[in-house]
Order: sequence, then structure tokens, then C-alpha cells
Amino acid sequence: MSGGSAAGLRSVTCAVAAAALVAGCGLGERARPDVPTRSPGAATDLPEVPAAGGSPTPTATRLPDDLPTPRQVDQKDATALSKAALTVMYTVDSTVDTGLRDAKLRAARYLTPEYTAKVRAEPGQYAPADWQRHRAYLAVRLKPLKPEAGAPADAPTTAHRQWEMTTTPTGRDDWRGASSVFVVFMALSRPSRDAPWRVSDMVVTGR
Amino acid sequence: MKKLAFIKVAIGLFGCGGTLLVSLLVFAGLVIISTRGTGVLMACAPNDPSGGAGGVVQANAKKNPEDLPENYRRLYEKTGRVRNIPWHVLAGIGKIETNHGQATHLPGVSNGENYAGAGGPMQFLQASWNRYGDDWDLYWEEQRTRKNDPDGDGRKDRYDPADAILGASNHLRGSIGKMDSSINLSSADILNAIHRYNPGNYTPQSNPYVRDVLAAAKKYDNGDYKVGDPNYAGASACSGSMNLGSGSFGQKIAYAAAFWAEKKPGTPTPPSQNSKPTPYSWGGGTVEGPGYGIEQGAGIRGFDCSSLAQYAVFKASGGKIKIPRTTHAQWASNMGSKIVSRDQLAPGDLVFFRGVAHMGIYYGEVNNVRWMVEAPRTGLNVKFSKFDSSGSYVGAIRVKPPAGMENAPPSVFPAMIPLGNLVGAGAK
Repeated sequence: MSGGSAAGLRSVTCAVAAAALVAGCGLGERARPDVPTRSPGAATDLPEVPAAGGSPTPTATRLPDDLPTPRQVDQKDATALSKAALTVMYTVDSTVDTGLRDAKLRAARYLTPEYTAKVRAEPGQYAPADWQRHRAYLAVRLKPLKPEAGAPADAPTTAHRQWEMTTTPTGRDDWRGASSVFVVFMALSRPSRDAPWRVSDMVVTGR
Repeated sequence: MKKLAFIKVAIGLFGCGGTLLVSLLVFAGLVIISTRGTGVLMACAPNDPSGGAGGVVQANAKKNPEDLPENYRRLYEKTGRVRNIPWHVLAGIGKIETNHGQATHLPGVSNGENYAGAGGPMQFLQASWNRYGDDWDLYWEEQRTRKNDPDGDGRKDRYDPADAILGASNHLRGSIGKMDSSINLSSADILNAIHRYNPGNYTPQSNPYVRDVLAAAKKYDNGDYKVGDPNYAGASACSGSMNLGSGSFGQKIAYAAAFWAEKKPGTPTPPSQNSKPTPYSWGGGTVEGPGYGIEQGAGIRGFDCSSLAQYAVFKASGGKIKIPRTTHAQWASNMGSKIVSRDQLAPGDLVFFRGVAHMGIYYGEVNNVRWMVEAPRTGLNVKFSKFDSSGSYVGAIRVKPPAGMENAPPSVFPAMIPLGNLVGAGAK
């Protein structure tokens, strides 16, 4: 159904409701004390969309020092690449990121273009206000897990890695939030044996 | 659609003159709509009459991510009406938070929590949910002094879209001190309420969340959207459920896993069984049911071996027990007693193989064959397998029953249900 059809449905519904009301026949909800007599919020204009350019306060600081840099990562080692990518992707820093998606995109150099596009389409997953009050970032610890026996097999241009990821919101004022543990399934690919690995897909689940 | 046809017929026959007859017909139509829950509020997942879903709320099928699921739209409209909030605002929040619950590949949308502890389609932190969470059923009962909610289950659940959207409306109103629906909201109120839903360290004017929500809300307000198929991820089932029988906890685990086993002649037939095969999908599957995995599992909704066990235990325990996600973590956990001998197995025992790199769920002995249910590997379906033909057995775990289910002894195994080959593949 298109938006036009939706509008049509609204019109019919309004017409029917109006007919009922003219004849003194309520829709049931009018009897409730907290229910408005006008249509659902229709009389309230939506606020104008604020112009872009908002930035968190206080202003951004440096990212955590222990984030891997591209030079430190052996990109021809699937395990090393997946570990570096995952670390960067989940180190959400509330002083520079609005949410998880921003952090994930910071790792775009380690991702295939297709997977980067998938990440771009994800919800932003905004960081909680608490984090920004403490100027917090998400500290990431990774433990390798053996993929279960049924997992797809590795090949020269495809690899699969599994991690246990523990994340802890960490304030720059020594505040600590509750830690969470996830299991991460990662697929990596490369166009040839000599090319660097890139993350091609990922599933994150609660432990 | 039936309600629309009914209304059109009524109008066509009697015109819109506002006669008593018209209003009575309209009223009758709306009562039918209300009581059937098809037009007003049907947040729950309908059961597949063919037995396909068996009351299991499945993750969303792949669809156009730009669409607004029709059940969500109805929930936004309904909630907007009773809480006197423009529905577009609720829809805008739902779009930005989880794309109306459709981002099920992310943790914390239909179950669990995301990286920041948020859960459900409207992404409530637990503390906020404790404050603003609500259940449609109870809300309806309290407000109307009659039970008229076809979807609710009497408990507030942040993963249930009906409850979550109602909770979001409470958050919007409560955060600006205008909880009562009779108070009309100004544009400034709406701006502030959205801001307080996700304030960060911003002002309402500088908050990118506000900007994103309002931009989405404007699109809905302008009718610039398409309505898509319903998204029932996280929703409670309308009625009925997977038949897990009345036996022990272990037997329920076995039946819950067996529901997903491929129907084949010569294999057991549990009380209820999905009509379609469920593929192995590495990383796929949750406590809710099959889910998308990655790589060869990408685009395939299924289970891997450990998620099938996690699902079965969760389901059998009525959602009280969530065992670890991986075979190694399950084996290392203290969720039950270890059983090494093959001869002591009972239905529902989690059986491990190949250095605990693989596992299955023991089903029991039927016609002198000992069966288990397993999600074997990439390329195969969840299926019944002969336990004694599976090598490299390491041991088993008998999961400790939850409170209230301890007294039923484990079934040592009488025959459960006749073999499928007696009645043909898949029949029962």
C-alpha cells in the first residue's frame, strides 16, 4: 500500500467517524477521561526540523589510545584483521560519535564496500546520555572462540572467526557502566590470496 | 481490509447523511473491528493456521526496509490517538531506533540488549522501561474498565511492539511533565519530548536525534511512505502455542527442538512440527526462533547447533532459562548436571560431540532407535538424527528445571509418538 492509499484510508476513516459523531454515536474511546475529542494529534503541527550541525558538548577529545592503527594490523592475517576491525567498530566514543553506527563506520577501511553499505543503512543506535555526561567510551575486550563444527569452512579467499566480546562503558572521569558480553560471528573475504582480508559480514548476539 | 470493505458498503447503501441507521451500522462495524482486533490493535503474531508457525513468533522475513510494517502503523496510530500524540512522531522514533523493529540482525531489537543496554523496538534502557513501560492489556482495562485488548498478555514487555510504543508515548509525555493525555502538546512540547527521549549532551535544537526523528516523522506526515508486511518480531502470540506436551521439563526441551526438525519418513513425529525445513545457519537463531546467520547462512533464517539448544531450553522453561550461546560456553556452564554415560540419557539432555564443537538435543527412543535433534552444518537442515550413529560423543548436560517445573521426573523414555513412516512424511 502506498502513502496515497494510506491517505485514502485516513479519509474514509475520518468520513465514517464524522458520520458517527454527527449522529451522536461515539467510537467508544470518547468515554475515557484522558482521550481527546479531536483526531489523533492532527491539530499539533510538527516542529520544524532543526538545521544540521549539532555537536556534543563538551567538544570531542582524542579517541582511546589503545585503538589499533592500520599500520599495526597484519591485514593478511584473518584473525588479526577481524580482531582489529571489531575493536574499532565497537569502541563507541560518546565525545565524537552519536552512536554505534558512527564507530562502525570508522572501521570502514577494514570492511568490504558491500558490508560498509549495510552498516550505513543500520539504525544509528545513539549513545545514552549517561555516557556523554561521563565523556565515556566503550572499552572492548575480545577472546577468540573456536567456531562450532557446522560453521562454513575456511578457504583461500573466505574465513570465519568467532569472538567473545566484553564491552564496558568507561568514563574519562573513572566512571564505569555495566559490562555486557556478546558472541560475534564474523565472515571475512578477499579477492585473492595476496589481498588483505576484509570483514564481509557479522552477527552479534547476546552471550 | 475487511473493515474497509464493510465501511464502504455501509456508506454506499445508506449515504453519509448522519442518520441513526448509518451510525448504528458504523458503530457495529467498529465494534466488530475492536473485538476481532483486525483494525484497531492486533500487535500479536497470528498463528499460522496450517501449523506452520505453531505459535512461534518468528523473526521478520526479508522485506523492503523502507516500508512501514502495517501492524506498526496501526499501533502508532492507535497509541497516538489514545495518548494525544501525533502518530508520526511515534513512527519517527520507531524508524530511527530500530526501523520499526525490522533491524533484527542487531542485538537488542527483538531480544537481548544492544551495546548500550537498550532493548525492544523503541530501544528502552531497563531503568527507563521500569519507569515508563506499560502493558496494553492492563492499560486498556484500567482506562476502559473492560477487557478489550486482543494482543496483550498482562505483562509489560519492552520487546512487544504494542507495549513498547505505549511506553514510548509515556516517555514522551512523562519526560515533559504532561503525562495526562488530555493535555494538548504544542510543537515546542514535542520538540522537547523527542529530545528527552535521547538527549545526549545536546540542546533540543542541536540534537541530531531530534533532527533525525523529525525528518522521519515529516515523511510519515506527508504520506511519503509505503506500508509493508507486518513485523511480528518480539510480539506475543495471539493464541495457541507450540505444543510441548505436559511432560517433564526435559521432554518439553526435546519437543521444542523437534518442532524445527525436518519431516522425513521414518523419523519421530513430535506433537507439533514446522511444515517447512529449517536450515543450518551459522550465527543464526535466537531464543525467539530461527534468525539470519552470515556468509553461507546470509539470507537464510535458521539455527546453528547451539542456538537451537538455546532456543529449546528457553522455550521449554517459559522464557525463564537462557543458556549460553555457544557449545563451549554451554559445556563450561553450571546450568545442570553432567551425564557421561550414553545409557542414562533422557529427553531434553543436551548432547555434545567432537570435543564439544558440536551438539544436539536428545529426543528419546522410538521403536528401538535413539534419536536426537540437531542443526548439523552449513548446507543441511535441522533434523532428527540417530544418536547412536553419531561418533565422538563427549557427554551431556541435563539442564536444571526452573522453579515450578522441578517435580516432573525426567522421562526415561517410553515411546513418545509413533514414527512418521506409519503415517507418511510430515503427517501427524
